[in-house]
Amino acid sequence: MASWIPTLSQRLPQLVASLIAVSVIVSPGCSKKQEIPVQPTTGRLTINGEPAVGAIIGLYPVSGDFDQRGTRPAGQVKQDGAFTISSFGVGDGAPTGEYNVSIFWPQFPGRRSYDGKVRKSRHIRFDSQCWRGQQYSRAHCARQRQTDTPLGSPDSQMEHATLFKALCLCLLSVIGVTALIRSSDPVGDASNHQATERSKRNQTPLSESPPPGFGSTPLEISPQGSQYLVRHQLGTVIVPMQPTRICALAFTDELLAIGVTPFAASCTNGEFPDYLRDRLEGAVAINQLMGVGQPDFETIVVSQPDLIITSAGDPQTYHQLSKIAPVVVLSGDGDNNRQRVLDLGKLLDKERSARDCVSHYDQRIRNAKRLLHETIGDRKVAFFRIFGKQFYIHGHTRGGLMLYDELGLATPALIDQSPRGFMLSPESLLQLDAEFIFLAVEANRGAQRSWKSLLSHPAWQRVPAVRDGRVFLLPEQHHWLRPGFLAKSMMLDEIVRSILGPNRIQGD
Amino acid sequence: MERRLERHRWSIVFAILACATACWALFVGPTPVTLDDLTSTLFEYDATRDTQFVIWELRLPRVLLTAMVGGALACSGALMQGVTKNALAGPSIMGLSTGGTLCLLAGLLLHPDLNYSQSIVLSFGGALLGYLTVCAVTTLSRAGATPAGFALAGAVVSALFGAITHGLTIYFSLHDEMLYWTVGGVSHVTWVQVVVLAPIFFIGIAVSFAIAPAVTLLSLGSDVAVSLGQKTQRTRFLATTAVLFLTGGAIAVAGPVGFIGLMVPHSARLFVGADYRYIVPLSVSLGACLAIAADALARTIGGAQELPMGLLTTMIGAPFFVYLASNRSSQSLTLRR
Repeated sequence: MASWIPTLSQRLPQLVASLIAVSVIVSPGCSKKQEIPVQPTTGRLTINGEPAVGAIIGLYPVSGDFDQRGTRPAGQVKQDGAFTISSFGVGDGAPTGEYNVSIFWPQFPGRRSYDGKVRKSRHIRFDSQCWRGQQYSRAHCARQRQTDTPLGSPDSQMEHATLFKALCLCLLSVIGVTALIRSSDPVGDASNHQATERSKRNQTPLSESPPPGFGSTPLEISPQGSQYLVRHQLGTVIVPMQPTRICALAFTDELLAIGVTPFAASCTNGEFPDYLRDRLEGAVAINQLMGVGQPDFETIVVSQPDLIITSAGDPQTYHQLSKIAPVVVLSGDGDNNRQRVLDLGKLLDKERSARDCVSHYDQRIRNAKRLLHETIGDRKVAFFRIFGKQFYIHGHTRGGLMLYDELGLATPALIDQSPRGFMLSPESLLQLDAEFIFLAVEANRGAQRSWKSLLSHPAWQRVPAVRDGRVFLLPEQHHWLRPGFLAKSMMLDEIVRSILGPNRIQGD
Repeated sequence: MERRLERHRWSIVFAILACATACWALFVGPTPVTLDDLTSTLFEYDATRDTQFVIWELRLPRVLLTAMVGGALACSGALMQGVTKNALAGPSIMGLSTGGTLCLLAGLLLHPDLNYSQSIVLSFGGALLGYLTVCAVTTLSRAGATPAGFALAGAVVSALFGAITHGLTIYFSLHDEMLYWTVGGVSHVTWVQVVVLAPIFFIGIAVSFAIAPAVTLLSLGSDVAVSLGQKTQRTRFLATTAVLFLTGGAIAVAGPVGFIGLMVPHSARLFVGADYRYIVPLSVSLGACLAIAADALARTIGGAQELPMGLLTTMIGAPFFVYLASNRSSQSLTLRR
């Protein structure tokens, strides 16, 4: 003790000097404090009805500091429980504003009674935290408007009312969403759905006469000198007779069916559909760009086509394509490939082989239909696809077109609710009455993993077709998903072979 | 004891509500089920009857798993918000979800025959990777670990991992697969998944409950916590472990389910204030309740086909939260600390 007192007394002049210096430097800042108007603020703090003597009340401005020093208005509770808040001078009050209030009460008598009874006394609502006997507490009071009223008492009944209203709001939003979902069509296969939406839109205003190349309406083709004048749904173009460098962004399948190999053909991820791969060897691959639904224009330009055949797309794509070469737009949703084959035959001077092709196909369909009806009658057939982590059951789309529309096989009852098809939950598998199932499996790794786990699901084992072992896996499935003309023929073979047994391959 | 019970009353209310929702969820679905079926399933299970099969093999595991997923995500969100002192922290923002998804996808690509426990391990790894990356990015910044910096780093890392995931998805054409991955769903759940997740869930929850008082203190600021004699490093470590367990498990089973991890703790805070001793249990029961309700609705409102659960959690949770927040903000301390 004694050793440093002299030192301090020796240094006293220096200390005083530096204090003066500091006060001089600080004083411009201090003078500002006078500019903030304060309101006298007093109150009483009782806890358990007893004055909380010695508790320190701190006010923390909600909207941030009101001066550079970060002044916190504060006050200490006196013997009678009263306190006066001081900000810049003794007992001057606090600036108007919202505050969080903290109460620091070093001598508080035991945390449990303290904690509980405060809530009952309702002078202050607390969240207090105590830690291992440390005499520490922190209070989050209700944000107080700094007024003349004493520290407020939030009504705890409010909590129940608020909760009730919040739950009602939830319920309302859920009901709204339900109504929304119920009123809209069941969302089918996304891509297909868009296509039909589009065709519906196209169809409605022109329901009297569908445009050429749409539905069952043929393309309008008229010779003009050494060229053809073709009217299709997006315009009229002049096309050379017997083009040699055809770029098929769609209808590759139909082109191959009438014996024309396109010079370039569209593909996904650099690969042609699996069932056309052999026949397209050497063709230029035109990727569909991911996400935008547009072909890779640069590759098309480089391949220098003299005719582009595409399916109904947006007018902008059509516009861009027609700068490269004449474009013929055709629509095909899988149920009108016959007309499309005839159109292409006429366009490319292969009318005869196109007609042969169609009649041959019709003949095969008739035979198959007869055989199948003799054998399985009204027993139900389903076409499934593993789609993500779920089963997708197809209605009258994709492979379903072949099963139900061309061959007239019976649909499972589930399809009646949603004719386009939908994602099946495991539980709805129990309602599936199909006795034959065709199951298309994506060739990629993720899908293979999920079909293994799906096929071991207990609900799957209860489907009649699974119990009787009449599930036919389709490891090569592109022709089931994009039912072109050749694809349909292959499907036909597969269906007949699977259902009737390998020995009954249909003679042509 | 009585007082504690009083503070826990919201947790108890919502736990009861969760149980009630779970019971209701057992009756929801295309196959009609009666009360008799339920009792006979529990006491004399007959697998040949469709109704009992539906309850035991399909709905019960699904409800249990949904509850665990909801509780786990909410709990880990609460812990993260407490430890990082950041109101925006949550599994989907701090890189955990995207990290888990990315890692799982990479694993699936390298080794397609992953079983469930392996994929859970991968999700852990991914969640850990995501979290560490966020921490590393935050530490690198010159301003130090500020809450805003943390949130930004989380957003950046999430965006990066998300981009890589999308890239891989496109490259290997796994869109269908990833569609259900990125929204979250529990549709094809069997008992196998429940058995795998249960121990992880209970360990995680036990750790969270144990460290909840310490998290409360840490949420006041590490200076305060240290000065009150707390071992902050240990608390942080335990909290991170619990978060990884809970989030990793939930992601591996259900994919990233949005909203629960971020918003449920905030909703809980509106009921019980800023004390994590009460927030954590309430988050668990509130999260479970929300998840079960969302899943049951996901099964009903779409008709025969299901919606992903993640959509519904947001649709139910968002108005609930907005209403609570707008009504209570004038009365009590909500998001501010």
